[in-house]
Amino acid sequence: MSYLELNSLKKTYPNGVTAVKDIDLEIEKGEFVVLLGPSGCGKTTTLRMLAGLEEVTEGSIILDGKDITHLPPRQRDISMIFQSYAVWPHMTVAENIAYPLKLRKMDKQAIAAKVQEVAKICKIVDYLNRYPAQLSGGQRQRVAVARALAVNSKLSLMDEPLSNLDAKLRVSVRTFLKEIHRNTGATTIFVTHDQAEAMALADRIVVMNEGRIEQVGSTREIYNECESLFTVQFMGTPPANIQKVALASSQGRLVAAAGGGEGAMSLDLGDQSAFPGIERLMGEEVFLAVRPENIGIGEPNGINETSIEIVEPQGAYTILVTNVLGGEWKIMLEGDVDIRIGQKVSLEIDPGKVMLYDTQNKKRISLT
Amino acid sequence: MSVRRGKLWSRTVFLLILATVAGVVLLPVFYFLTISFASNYEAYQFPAKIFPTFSYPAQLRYNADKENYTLLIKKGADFEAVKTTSDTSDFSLYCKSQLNVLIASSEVQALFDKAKGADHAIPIKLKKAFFRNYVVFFILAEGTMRALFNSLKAAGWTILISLVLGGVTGYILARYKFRFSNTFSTGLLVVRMFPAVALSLPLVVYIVRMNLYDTPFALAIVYSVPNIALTAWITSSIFKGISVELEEAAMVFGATRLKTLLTITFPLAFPAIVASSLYAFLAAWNDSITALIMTNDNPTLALLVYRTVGSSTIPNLPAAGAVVLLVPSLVFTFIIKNYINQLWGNVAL
Amino acid sequence: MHVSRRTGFFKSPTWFLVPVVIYYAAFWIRPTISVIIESFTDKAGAFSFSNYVRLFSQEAIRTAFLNTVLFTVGSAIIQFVLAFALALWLNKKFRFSNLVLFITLIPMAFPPAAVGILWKTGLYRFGWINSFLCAIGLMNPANPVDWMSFRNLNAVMLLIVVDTWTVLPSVMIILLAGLQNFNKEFEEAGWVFGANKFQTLKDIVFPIMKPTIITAMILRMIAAVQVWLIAVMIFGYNVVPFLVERIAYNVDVITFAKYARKDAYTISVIVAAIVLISVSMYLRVSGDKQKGGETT
Ligand SMILES: Nc1ncnc2c1ncn2[C@@H]1O[C@H](COP(=O)(O)OP(=O)(O)O)[C@@H](O)[C@H]1O
Ligand SMILES: [Mg+2]
Repeated sequence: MSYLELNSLKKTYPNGVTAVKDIDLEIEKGEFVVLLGPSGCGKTTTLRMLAGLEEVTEGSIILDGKDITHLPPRQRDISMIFQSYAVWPHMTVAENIAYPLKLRKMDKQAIAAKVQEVAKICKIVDYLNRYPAQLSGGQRQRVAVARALAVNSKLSLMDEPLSNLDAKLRVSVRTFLKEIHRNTGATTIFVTHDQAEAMALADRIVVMNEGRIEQVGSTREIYNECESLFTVQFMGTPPANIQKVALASSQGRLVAAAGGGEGAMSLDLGDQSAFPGIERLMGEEVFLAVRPENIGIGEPNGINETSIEIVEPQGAYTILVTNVLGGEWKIMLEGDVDIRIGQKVSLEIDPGKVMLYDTQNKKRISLT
Repeated sequence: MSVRRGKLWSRTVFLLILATVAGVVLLPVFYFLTISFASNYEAYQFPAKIFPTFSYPAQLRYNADKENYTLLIKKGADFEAVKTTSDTSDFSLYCKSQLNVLIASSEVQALFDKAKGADHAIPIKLKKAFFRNYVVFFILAEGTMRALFNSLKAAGWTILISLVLGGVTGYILARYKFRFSNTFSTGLLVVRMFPAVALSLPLVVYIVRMNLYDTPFALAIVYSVPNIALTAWITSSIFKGISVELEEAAMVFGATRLKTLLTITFPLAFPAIVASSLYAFLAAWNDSITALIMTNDNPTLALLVYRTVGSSTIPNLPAAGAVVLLVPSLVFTFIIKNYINQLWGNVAL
Repeated sequence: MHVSRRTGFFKSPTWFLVPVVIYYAAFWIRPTISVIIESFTDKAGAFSFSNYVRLFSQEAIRTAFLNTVLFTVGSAIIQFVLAFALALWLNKKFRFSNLVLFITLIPMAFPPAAVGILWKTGLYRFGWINSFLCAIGLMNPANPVDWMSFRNLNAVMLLIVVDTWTVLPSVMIILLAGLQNFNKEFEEAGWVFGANKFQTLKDIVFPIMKPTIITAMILRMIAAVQVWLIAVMIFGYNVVPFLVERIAYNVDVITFAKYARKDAYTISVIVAAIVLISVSMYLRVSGDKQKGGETT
């Protein structure tokens, strides 16, 4: 039995929208789990059901062996960081942090000590007597963190807490949250639509789409072993190159063809021996997905020859755009690569990193 | 189990509140409407009916001993004798004035003949002229239509004065901080603190001097005094709700301040401003006491209703007048419910 | 700098306030000053407190004062509680909430004359209130209550009920606007961090809503002190005296009595003073310190 269990959770709003369709999830104590998905996929709804702010339509939530599905928020022993921070404007920073502790009937001295302690951690000691209106967005955010940190709750919930910060601050607060988690070991569920945030923070990522879970796994699994077409499309910047192709074999090599007939184009995917069990897919249509960083370039040698159309240097890496199989493909190379527009190159695809998806159910085709 | 019971419980409580709120508001309103349709006879009935009636279940009896006829109307389980006469025009008049039933003498004669022929009371159908009170109050009574127009004029002028002066004030209070802005808004509050009734007396003197006595415009001048302030608060709330950035964007793209106001701010604020004129409208449309002091031959409709309440013991006629008075106010209220937030969301006194 | 300041002066938006100021000078300040002067002069036009002395020696004025205070305090408290509860309830969106909102706003549209008729026909012995109470079996039709025979405290309480029916929507509308602007996450943060519904209301919703509440209550109090029309429409003059009822009585009924005008003016000044004092007291009590300074 896990620390937190969501069993077939479902939510239909009074207006008829079913925001969460069927969520099954088990979370262990101390885990940092990130709910990741595009806007509107039901992340906030799931989190709010966990907090008790939204009535559960079907299913149950078990926290620490206790069914909390229908408990009011205050009886769940949770803390939360809201997207708007929800730092109460009529209380000073210190009062904001102290209020939940007062509700827990902590004695005055203990509260004062706790406020000092978390204020120190969150570096807001200097602002303790200020009102939220006198703070910047980043400072307000730290107050929200401090308030959540002060209560030793069973579960810590965060709904896009970084989305209102500027890019630089977002990265530093991200590190800060991870550090806090390492020190406190609080079981945390963090909602975001930003995959970089998710990958940086998560012990485990839960990819959601249209009210359902697409995949659960570590950052590495979610990125490299995408189980569904949705996940592979969603993860990665720039996103994976995806094309509907027919597979064929040519002189011991695996070839993907698109277009068909006269204008057919093909892409050499490498030695067929690198794809054990591929035989049964010959002639079938599949979705081919290759991440930009899994494509290399070499001198033109007759195989996969193409010309580079756009070059986007990014400093640490370079993105090339070229035409493959009738679509625009992106290639990502490390470092500052010296390539001209219009230059002819041969593409080298890492056969081990090629992912194939069923055209019907959009799930990954496992070859072995 | 407990969840379902909790849901049922909260649903019951919800419906109870709903029923209470609707009942407390609608019950008096229904009785009021019914009274406006009631004949004099019905107005005296107890217990009163909540819904208006369209006809009377009645009987006509021929009294052979006195050679006259008795009209009986159903009351509870029995029939109550309400009128005994042998004269058809007397009977017809009674029906018209007391029952709101229009029946010609000739028709009465036919009924009389029929009753005489029978050896017991015959059932007859008396159909009410349903809008009789309204017809009497508005068409037959003199001056009601003129009073209605006076009310419209007074309300129109009040809205115009309040919106122009109050709207400008509201915009400036919303967008600029100037040296006396706090004093100014406190001043607007103080304006409402002085009883308007008392101010009417010295104001009458000025109005007479301006040769405006007994005109709807003069009324509008007085009504506008508290309403400019109210309109200023409300419009300033509306303007505060419209982001300054929208205006700045227009100015960045080359619009003058006036152009910005006319093409950006005003269109955005317009629906809410229309809704805000409800308050000016209500003040003018519903007032009777200022009109009492400030008019003589040109009363407003509200004043007319107020006077008829005082002069008649039966409330059905003034109620009919009041219902007509109510209709435009209700329309405004229906509009205003969608703008509550804009009107009052950013009000700061 | 110099140039811009000068054009700034002429372009200053405050110039647009001039028409309003002129309007108020002509139609408010001038009559107000003449009323104040009249209240402090005797018939011969000499400065004197005689009007005040004469008034305070009248029994009716003291009753009127007491009734006005009772009415203001009573109606303010009752209407605040009911309006806030109603606003909280209506702020939850439910199926026909828009229709229910309209229904609750209906009394706002009623002209005082209509309110008078409505309640007069309701409150007399054979009125609709008793009819209704009989219909649902709460009253014996043979022995109806004559509400209009109520006097003193009972009459004031009856008027509070009637007044509440009429003005509750206007109070509620302001509070509802405040609630609609209220960031729901403030409240939810309260629940999540362990506050129950009541604590959330007391510690979070009320304090944050304070400016709105103050606005609604001040407007309400200003109007409540000036109550008179419903009292006159239902009971007639002289039955349940209020301060402004006394003014109207002097203006409307005994217009040509010796001191009618002087009395009316003097009472107006007293009423204005009471309103001013009670509003500032209310502000003091509710502790309207502007917290938080400049908001961004
Ligand atoms: N209170 C609500 N009432 C009705 N529909 C809602 C409500 N809140 C969210 N939704 C709908 O539910 C879906 C999921 O919303 P949400 O959980 O907020 O998504 P996310 O947080 O992943 O962006 C959306 O389609 C949204 O429109
Ligand atoms: Mg969300």
